[in-house]
Amino acid sequence: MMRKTRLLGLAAALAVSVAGTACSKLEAANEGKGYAGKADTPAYSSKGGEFSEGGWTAGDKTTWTEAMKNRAKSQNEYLRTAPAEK
Amino acid sequence: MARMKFLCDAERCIECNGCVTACKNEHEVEWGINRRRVVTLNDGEPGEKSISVACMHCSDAPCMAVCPVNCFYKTDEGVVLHDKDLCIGCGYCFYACPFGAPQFPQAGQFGMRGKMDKCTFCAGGPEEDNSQAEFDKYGRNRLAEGKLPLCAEMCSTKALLAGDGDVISDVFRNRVMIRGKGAELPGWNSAYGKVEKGA
Repeated sequence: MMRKTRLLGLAAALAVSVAGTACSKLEAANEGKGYAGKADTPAYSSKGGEFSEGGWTAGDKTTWTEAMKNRAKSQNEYLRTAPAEK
Repeated sequence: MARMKFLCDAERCIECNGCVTACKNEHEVEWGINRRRVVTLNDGEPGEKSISVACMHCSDAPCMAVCPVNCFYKTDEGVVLHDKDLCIGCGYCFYACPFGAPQFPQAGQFGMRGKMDKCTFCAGGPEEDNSQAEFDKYGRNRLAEGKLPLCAEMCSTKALLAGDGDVISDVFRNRVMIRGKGAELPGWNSAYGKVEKGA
């Protein structure tokens, strides 16, 4: 009897954990249906027109990613000026 | 792989609304729509905090889950975008979003809602990059120009950071180490709480 109860408890815990995993991702609610709209081109695919910056190669994701990372780093003003000594 | 994120430093935001203005101007957003807003907590009291809020391009986006016409998609960089040609303006995404990011033009009669509009992380939408059609529907595509969102790039106090999650986390960590306080990040856990594979 004790063993049966333990097995039942284990099965219930397993079921709850499986259900939890299945529902843990909100986007899974859309699974199977997917995106129904027009396909988009990746940001790195074109050269970005006359105002583009960063000097990456059109269609090359690696150079674009690197250019974007460098641009993001420039938001750190401590790289421009050393912090005042305390 | 780069995962584009926004990060707002509440210790630095001075509620100047420069990000809001920059966004509206850059994308020529129509009257009544605010893709970005500045929210002030405990306004007027000592220690008030302001944060700039827009679509956080959630790792696990609730808007994508509830959309009945599946008009949302996520780019390789983790930017949540949508197809306006498909949107029916039902407003489900607005109810699902914890940040109130989806906006609806209400210029019509009887409070009729138009197609949803939201922050695109300056990444345009499903039209030809930097085309007039893309600009008219979604605004400028700065990512395709090798630039980051204008709201963050022009932020005068650099309270609002945008870019690769790892890079801006490093920028913020460095800042917190130097000033020795203010490591709280409003909205960060709601938007990016769970770590994704390859994030």
